[in-house]
Amino acid sequence: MQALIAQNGNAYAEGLTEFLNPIRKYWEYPSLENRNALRIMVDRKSTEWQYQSGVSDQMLLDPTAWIVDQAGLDRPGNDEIQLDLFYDYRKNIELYLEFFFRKYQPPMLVVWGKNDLIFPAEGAAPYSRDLTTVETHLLGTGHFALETHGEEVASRIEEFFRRHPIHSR
Amino acid sequence: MQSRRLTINGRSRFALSFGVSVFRCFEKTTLGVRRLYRLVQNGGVPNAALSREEVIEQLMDLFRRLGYDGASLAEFSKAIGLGKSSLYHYFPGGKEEMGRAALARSREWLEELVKASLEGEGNPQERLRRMMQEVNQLYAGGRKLCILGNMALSGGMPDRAAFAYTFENLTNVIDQFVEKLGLRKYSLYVMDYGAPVGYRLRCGTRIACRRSLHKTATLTRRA
Repeated sequence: MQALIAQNGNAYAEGLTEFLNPIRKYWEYPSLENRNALRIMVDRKSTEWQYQSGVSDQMLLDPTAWIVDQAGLDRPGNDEIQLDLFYDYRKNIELYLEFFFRKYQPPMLVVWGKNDLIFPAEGAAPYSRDLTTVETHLLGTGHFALETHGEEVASRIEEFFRRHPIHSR
Repeated sequence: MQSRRLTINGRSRFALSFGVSVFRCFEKTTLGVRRLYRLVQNGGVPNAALSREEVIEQLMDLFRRLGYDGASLAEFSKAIGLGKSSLYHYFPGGKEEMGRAALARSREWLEELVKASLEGEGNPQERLRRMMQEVNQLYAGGRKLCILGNMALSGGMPDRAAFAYTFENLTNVIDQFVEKLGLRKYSLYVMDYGAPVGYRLRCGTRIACRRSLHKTATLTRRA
């Protein structure tokens, strides 16, 4: 493992907020009713929201992103798969403390769309607690930070790799 | 969204929408005439004299709607009105060659479309606006899919009965993938669901990969 880059990818309990509440309810009571309540999370409106929320300039977004995502989600049977994954996410939380980066300590770059409501900025800060070499950049955007800040993330990665030359490791 | 940035007066807006309607109408008419001509020419046998180029045009539409895995050669044959042997005549490499041809033609077409609007008449603002209109029309204002996107979407989505959709299983798939690639050194870019999958990788502590995991499994590489 030479380096880790995390972008709106959570590994901490602090990073789980009310967005998860309907899913938590399903974890606690895995009834059909609670499962069905999550179906709106894979509909077109929710998919659009995932891209648009937290983005101040909507002109920067390419609608192709959510149209293609939704086409994938609309494939017959895909909704059930998404619901299965919602249900299974609870096991990730149980494993948060066992994720390998704590033990292996790769240099880590954290780039995070700070307006993300799914995995909010609270999840970005704790990495610096657990890793010895870590650099954090909060970006003024939402969940899919690359949609609006692709260039910036790319240059952050390049700078990071210049500072931490991986070929020598 | 567009009008927030580029405010244009009522007259040019009318002219633009008029232009687009004319374009649409022209497109429909020429298609209709061509079809009719062929019917007459072939004594009522539809599509018997389709050129490879014309077949590609239809394939573009089919791949765009159905994705790569979504349609069989039999369906292509039926929709286009050509026998399978004729399809193989034009595309000896079968579906893969058809897919490649459709993508290549789409790219040329999009480039031509953008180029023609940007090099056309009017000031830069008008040309830019025309380009946006054309592209918007290409995607029917967001109702039509990107052909590349929809073709890329095709692929393994095993049935729930055959594959339990858990993060553990997703991790196993990626672990096997990494192993198969034989990567020895790696950096990992994780996002969203990619984080728990990436952080669980067994290969994470052994062999190497650089990757971005996304719900749609995007791969990114650093040169």
